[in-house]
Amino acid sequence: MIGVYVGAVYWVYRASSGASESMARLLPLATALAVVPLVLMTILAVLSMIAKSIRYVARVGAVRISPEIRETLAGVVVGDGDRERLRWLAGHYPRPFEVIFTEFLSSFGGQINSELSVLAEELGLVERWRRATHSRNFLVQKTALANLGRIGHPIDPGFLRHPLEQTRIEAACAALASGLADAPALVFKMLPDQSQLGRILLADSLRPFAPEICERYLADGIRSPDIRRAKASIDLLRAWERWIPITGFSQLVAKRDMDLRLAALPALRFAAAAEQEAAQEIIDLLNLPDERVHAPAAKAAADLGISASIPLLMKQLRQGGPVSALAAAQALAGLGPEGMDLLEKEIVSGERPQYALQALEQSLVAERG
Amino acid sequence: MSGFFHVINIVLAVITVYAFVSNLNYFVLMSLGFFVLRTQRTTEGSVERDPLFKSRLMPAISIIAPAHNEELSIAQSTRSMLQLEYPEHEVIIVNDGSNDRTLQLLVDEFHLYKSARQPLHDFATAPVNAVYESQNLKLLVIDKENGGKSDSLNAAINYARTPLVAAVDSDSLLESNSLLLVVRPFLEEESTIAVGGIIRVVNGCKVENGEVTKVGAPRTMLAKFQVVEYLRAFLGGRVALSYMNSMLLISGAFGLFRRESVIEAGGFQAGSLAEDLELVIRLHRISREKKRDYKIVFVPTPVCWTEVPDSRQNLKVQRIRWQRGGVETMWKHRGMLFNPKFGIVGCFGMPYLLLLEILGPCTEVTGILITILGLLFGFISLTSALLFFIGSVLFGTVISISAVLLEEFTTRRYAHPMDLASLIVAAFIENFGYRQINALWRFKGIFDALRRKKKRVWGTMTRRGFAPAADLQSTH
Repeated sequence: MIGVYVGAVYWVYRASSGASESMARLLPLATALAVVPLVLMTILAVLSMIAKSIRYVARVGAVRISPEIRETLAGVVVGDGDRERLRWLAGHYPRPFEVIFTEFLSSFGGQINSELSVLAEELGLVERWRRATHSRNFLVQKTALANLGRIGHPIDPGFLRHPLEQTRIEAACAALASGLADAPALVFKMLPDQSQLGRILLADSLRPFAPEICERYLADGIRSPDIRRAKASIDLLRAWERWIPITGFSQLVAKRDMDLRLAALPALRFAAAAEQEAAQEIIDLLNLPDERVHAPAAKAAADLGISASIPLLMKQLRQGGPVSALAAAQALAGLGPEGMDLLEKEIVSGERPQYALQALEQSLVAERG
Repeated sequence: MSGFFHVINIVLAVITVYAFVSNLNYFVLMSLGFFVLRTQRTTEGSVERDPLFKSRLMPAISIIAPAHNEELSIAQSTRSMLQLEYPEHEVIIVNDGSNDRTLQLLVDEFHLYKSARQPLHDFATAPVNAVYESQNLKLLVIDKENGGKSDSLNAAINYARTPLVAAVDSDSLLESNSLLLVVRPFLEEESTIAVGGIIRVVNGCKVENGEVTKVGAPRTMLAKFQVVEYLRAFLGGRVALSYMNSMLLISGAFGLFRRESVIEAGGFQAGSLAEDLELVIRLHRISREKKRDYKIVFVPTPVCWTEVPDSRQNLKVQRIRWQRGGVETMWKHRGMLFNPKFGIVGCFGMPYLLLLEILGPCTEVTGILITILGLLFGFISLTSALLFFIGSVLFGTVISISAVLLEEFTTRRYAHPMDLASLIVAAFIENFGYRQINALWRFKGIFDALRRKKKRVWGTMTRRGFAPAADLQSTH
């Protein structure tokens, strides 16, 4: 690189010092490097402005025609609209028509959705979407998959194994929306291999199937020796906040790594079969020397009202770092009169009144709403 | 004498080749940026926004915003931050010893009470006078003695409780979905430690209730030049550098950081004029030294709108400050330069920053001087001058126009064709005068840094605030 640079400097120097043959070679090179791209860019800029103007006019046209498309489509789906006019609008304004059609699809279910599905087939939209699922443009592909799902059109299961996560997720959501019989099981199986973003999106799409998932798959997922599968199952539980007692839940996670135990803490109140079992897990965690578990354990103790944890929380308030001390104070404030009394005493005569004061103040503000 | 002229001619040849190489480099980065942006076009639609917005699995965010004499815009920008779409976020405003009514306005507007809230970390900062909280809103205001921007950010981190902190300028406006977009890399990759969003120029846009409702190009040429500069820097440079995980700057106006990582790095450097650049380089340094898998990412969709200076004096002060901050930061981390221990950051990111961003103005100013004097006194040939002009100005024009086209081909935020036309014109004109003056200001910034001139911790800029829509509305 340095050699090329020094060579180029020498060449420029020689050319600019008056050697006419070098000059003859250099100026075309400089022109190629700067003037030609400049001309090309200028042409591209002019074309872009023309294209933008065309798009702008089309957008203005779309805004003008949109109310009519909306009105005609609404009329047709409720049975008293002009089908021919709708067909004409779909043919002449394909873009705004598709956008409005998609809006309708995502807003209505039941009979209207069935009518829209028939219309989509009739107007050639289904075929267009099917083709668009193979588009290299992710946004086009995503919209097509979502629309096919909304009209209950079967999704190629191959998309659930697509290398691009966003396509996998979109296909999974579409498969669930399409009513495919084994879609919930397939999607549940996909969970561990997705990122946190994918799990959040899938958890939301799986929500209507929560009873089925809880009954048939979730407990096995949590029991799974595969940590990722267990964690993904616990994430589902946290996302849905649904009560599903699993016998020996805390023992199941207590034997595993700390990350899983931490993830399971907020889920204890949904999954622990017995209060005693949850209390034991929380107390075990509060007793651990690892301080990073103390704050979430204190919060879980307050959420579940475990009064047996009070002595440990007091110890944490007095000896823990700022994060765990504050969490302990907040947990004590959440544990009712007994915890409140201890906090008041701490304010008057304790060594670290500041956290107790903050927790009491927050509790008071929350109470006043 | 002829020996001296030979040397001058060689220097000009070096500068000419440098201009070609640096512009070629920008062009390559911009082309890479184009392909990355085209493949990464994952603008979230309503289908995705809703599940994210209501999910219990989203990490909580603290928005930390230092404010110093911001009475014109503080109430509106705070309200705008509180209204952002996100399942769990808190706003922490740090009043850094303002002399105006910034604090009083906040207390009155949001009915704040004096709170007993305690810091959870202990970065050393200027003394905190009081902490105020809102009863109903997730808003915390820290009133402290004047200590500068970094000091205020550190004070806010001390009080933050969430796993992620978003550092923003209190005089900027975040788009309502910006948090949902900027958090995505953290959800997609656990190793992400910092994410930067794009900063766009609000001058010329229509602002209503703290939200940009119509995007338009600015009316003044100076602001338009800055739009072109921002597009070049963000859509060209940062997209490509982020793709190579060697992006060294997350703008202080909008960046999301993993709180733990910032604490581990020691927070923002007190007194730094480029605290944003310095922190990101330090995050790279620590992660590389500890041989960790990490990512520092730029995402072009979450937008933060900022008002750019529309007077030459304000712009000059800003550019001198930025350049000075850059030089000081580069000097502090000089050990990373060309150091293979720091991987692509040491071998590409840092040299890119030094050779193109820091030394660029020096070579440009020197080249201009030599060319003008040389032509006047006849010690350089017309060919030399022509080559320098082609390499520096014409190639620069290609880069500027490419930046505007890159915006048009990817994010396409300017809806009206006239906006595109006026920006392309600005991209052309900026290379004939504006860029050279800018290089002079930046050269002065380097000079000030070398002289170790006394620092001013807050860059002062006369702002208009987010005026009613009619005042800022563009001509169409």
